[in-house]
Amino acid sequence: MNTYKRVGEYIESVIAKIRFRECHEEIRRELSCHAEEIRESLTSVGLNDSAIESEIIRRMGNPVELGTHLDQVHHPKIDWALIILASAALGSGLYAMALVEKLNLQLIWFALGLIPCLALSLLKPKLLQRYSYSILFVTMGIGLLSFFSNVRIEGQPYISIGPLNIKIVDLSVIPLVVGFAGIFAAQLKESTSRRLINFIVTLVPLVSYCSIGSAYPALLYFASVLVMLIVVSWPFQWVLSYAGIGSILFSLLVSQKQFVSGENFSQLVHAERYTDFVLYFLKDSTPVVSAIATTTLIALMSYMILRSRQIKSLYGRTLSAGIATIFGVGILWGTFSNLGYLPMPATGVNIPFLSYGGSLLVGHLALLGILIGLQRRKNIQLLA
Amino acid sequence: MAVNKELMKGSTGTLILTLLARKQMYGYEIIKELEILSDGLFEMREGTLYPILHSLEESGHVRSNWVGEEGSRQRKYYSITKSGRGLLKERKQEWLSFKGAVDKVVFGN
Repeated sequence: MNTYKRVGEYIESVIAKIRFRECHEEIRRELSCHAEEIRESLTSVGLNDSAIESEIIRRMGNPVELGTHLDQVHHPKIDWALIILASAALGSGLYAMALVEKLNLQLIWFALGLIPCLALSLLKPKLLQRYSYSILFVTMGIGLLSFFSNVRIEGQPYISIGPLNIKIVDLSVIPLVVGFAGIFAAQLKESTSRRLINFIVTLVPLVSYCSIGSAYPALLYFASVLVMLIVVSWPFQWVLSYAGIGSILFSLLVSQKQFVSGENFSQLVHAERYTDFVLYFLKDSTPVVSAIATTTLIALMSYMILRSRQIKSLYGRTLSAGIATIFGVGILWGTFSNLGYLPMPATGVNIPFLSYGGSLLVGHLALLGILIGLQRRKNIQLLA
Repeated sequence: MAVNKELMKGSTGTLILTLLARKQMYGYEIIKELEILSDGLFEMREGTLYPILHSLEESGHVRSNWVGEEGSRQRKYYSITKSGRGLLKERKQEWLSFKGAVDKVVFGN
C-alpha cells in the first residue's frame, strides 16, 4: 500500500475530520486494511495501479462525509453516571464531616484531590502503562523509606509534609495496583521464569503489609491483584498459588489479633466516628443520610464493576477491574464492619469518599479520574 | 434496477446486524456478502458501512477484535452481542409490520 499515495492521502483526509485523536490509529489501520482488500480484488481483474487507486477512492466515498460521520460517532463521552454516583457519595461524606466539625480540613483534601482527578481523566492511559515499572519501583522505594519515618500513628508509618500527615501504607496500594495492571496486561506470553519473577515481586508488598499488621491495605492489595490476575488470564495454578499464599498470610494476621476487640469497641466508635466508624455514627445521628450513603456506595461499586467489563483494551479492563476492587473492598468491608457483621481492623478501614481520609481521599479521587479517562476511551482497542 | 438511497437508509443497520448474527465478519466481507445475498441490488459504500458499524459498536450492539499479527494481514472482525441480537429482533418485528402496512396500501393485500 506504500505505492498508493492517493489512497494514503484519502485516508488522512478522513482522519483529519475526526477530532478525537486517540482513535486515529485504529481507524487509519481499518481503512488501510479495507483499501488493501479492494486492491487485491481489483489486481486479479488486470487493472493498473492508477485505475485501482481511483476505484478504491470511488468506492470509499467522500472523505469529508465519511470523516464527519466517524467524528460524530467517536466523540469521547463523559461517564456522567460515574461522576454523579461519586458526587453523591462525596456529598454524604462531607455532610458527615460537617457534623463532626472536620469539614474544613476535608474540603482542603478534596480540593487537592480534584487536581489529580482532572489531570488523570485527561491523561492518555497508554502513558500510565508506559511508566508502569517506574510507578511500581518509586512506590516501593517510598514505602521502604516510610519504615524509617519517625511519625507513627497506631503503629503505622506516616509521612509528614507540613501540617499534612500522609498515611503512606494505605495510599501505596493505589500506585501499586496501577503499576501492576500495566505489567500484567503487557506480558501475556511471558516465559515461566519471567512469570516467576513477577509472582515474587507481587508478593513483596503483601508480605510487607502483613508484617506491619496493616490488615486493610493488605486485603485491598491482595484482592485487587487477584482480580487483575484473573482478568489477564494468568494460568490457573499461578492464580491459585497467589490466592493460597495470600490466605496463609491473612490467617497469620488474624491470629495476631489485629482486630478491634469487644471491650474497646464502643470507645473506638466514638473516637473514630469520622473515620472508621463514620457509617455507624451517621446511622445513629442521621439515618436517612446513612441510608443514602450506603445505597450510593453500593451502587457506585456495582457500576464500576459493570463498566470495567465493557472496556475493550486489556490494559484498560485490567486497571479498571483493579480500581473497582479497591473501591469494592473498602465499601463492603467498611459498611459491614460498621454494621457489626465483619471485624474492624485495629488500624482502621477507610470507606471511600465517606470517611475522613485526608491523603486517601486524594488517592480515591485520583482513581476516579483514571476511571473517567478509561471510560472516555472504552472502545479504543489499541490503547497500548 | 437501482434502489432509492432513502429506502436503504433506515435498513442498513438491520442488514448489518442480520449478517453478523450469522457469523463474525470484517468490513469488506460484509459489503461483499450483502451484494451476493441481494443479487447485486445492495451496493453499500464503505462511507456508509463504517459509521454504522462504529455506531453499533459504540452502543454495545456489536463488538470487534483484530485478527492477525502486526506486519502481516490484519482484519478487524465484528460480531454481534446479546443486546445486538435483542435489537435485531425488534428491528425485524418493525420491518414485518412496516412491510405489511405498505403492501396493504400499495397492493391492496
